Amino acid sequence: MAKEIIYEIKNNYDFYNGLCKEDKLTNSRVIKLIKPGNNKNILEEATDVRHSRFTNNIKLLVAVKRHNHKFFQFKLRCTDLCQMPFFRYDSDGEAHRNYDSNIRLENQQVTTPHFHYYNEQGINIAYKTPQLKKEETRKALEDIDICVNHFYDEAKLISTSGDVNIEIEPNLLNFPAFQEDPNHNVTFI
Amino acid sequence: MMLQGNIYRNIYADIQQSFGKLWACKERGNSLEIVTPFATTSQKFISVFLTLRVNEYVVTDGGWICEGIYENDFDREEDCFSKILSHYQNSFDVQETIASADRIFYYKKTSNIQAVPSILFDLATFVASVVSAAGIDFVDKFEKENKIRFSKQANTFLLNTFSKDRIKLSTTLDSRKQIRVNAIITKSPSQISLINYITGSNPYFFNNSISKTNFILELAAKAEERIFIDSTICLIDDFSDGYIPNKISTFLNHLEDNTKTKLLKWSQKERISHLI
Repeated sequence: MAKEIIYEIKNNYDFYNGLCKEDKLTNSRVIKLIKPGNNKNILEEATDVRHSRFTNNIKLLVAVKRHNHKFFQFKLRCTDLCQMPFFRYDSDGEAHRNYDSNIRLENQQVTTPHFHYYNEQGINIAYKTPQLKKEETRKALEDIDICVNHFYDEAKLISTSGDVNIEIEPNLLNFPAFQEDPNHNVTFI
Repeated sequence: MMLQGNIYRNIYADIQQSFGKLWACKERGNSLEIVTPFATTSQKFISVFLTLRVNEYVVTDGGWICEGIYENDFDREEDCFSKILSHYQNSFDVQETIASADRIFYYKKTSNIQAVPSILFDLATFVASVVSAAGIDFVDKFEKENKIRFSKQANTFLLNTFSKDRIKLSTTLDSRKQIRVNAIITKSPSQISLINYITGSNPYFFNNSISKTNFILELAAKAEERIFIDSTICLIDDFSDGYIPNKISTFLNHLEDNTKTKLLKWSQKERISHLI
């Protein structure tokens, strides 16, 4: 056993499907990332989302690492359904295992960047869109400002005020904004 | 028998090939991220980071366990988890270093290039085991969530109040590394303040938290390092469900009398600068 089942999703799959696959609206054209969340090294912002049919409270959460702006997440959360995001994009981070013995082992691994959704069994599944599989477009999507609009398309989100822009806090301390090497500046005695 | 032997050999070759394809890598500045076939119970594949430093090869977790990148909790004050962490750390001879107040790295290193696969094997097994263990609910779910919430809030508050080079979070006071406190603030080279967090999702857990702090501070008062302790402060989570004054006051009063610690309510946390 190496899988997590989210029973709230499994037992309400029709609702879940509606949440994911039907249109959802946001008002903000600019999402400003200036406040750290629970983790001081991550900037987070939540935006209200209106579903075209459901009245439930839905939030779009955007998070970015302060010192690596290529490391970001977009998450859709509806706490009426479950605590964890019901749809997500990871630009970087760990590879995911799609737990299904009918899939050959080597194909169960999905490296980042990738999207996440839940299947009918309530199991978290990662996948890459054609744009993420193609090196040229994958590279362009490392830019959070471009990627947010790809997320909008994939998540059936519609911005009522045109293309969405992400603004990240001014880099007052001149820390590198794209420090991808986690071992950088760490001393291993 | 011959036919069956062939089938087994084919399956074995397929397994080898399939496993082999689970390795992947990604260049990250001066390090190489290596995605390994080792996986957690939460459907994550483990990544480790290889860096060449002077003449040594260092394989690290990239600080990902501490950062919770595997969507894992990391609470070294939780007794059961702490024991599991120590067990795997000692078994695989994994070192740790604190890169800054809130970043802990686990690593192994060698000067022998031939030994790199071996230390990588150890570190990846260590990370997979620890991350999977972090997913076990050792305590009541609400209590665990409450404790993590307050711990994160308090850590963020301290990091925003004091400069990073003065703070050590979730650290030990003594050379034996047995007396663990939530934070140590350095006042001068020979003066420190110990900070402990007290919270609970109900009065029972709140009193447990007080009792544990009481015990830790008693041990601290007997440690060789006690001469460096300038003050001890307990941050009291007066927003938690367990904070019901008439059910916890006996324990709180005993803590204050017994250890001479300063009690600081979370609602008045800004006063901490005056106490240190």
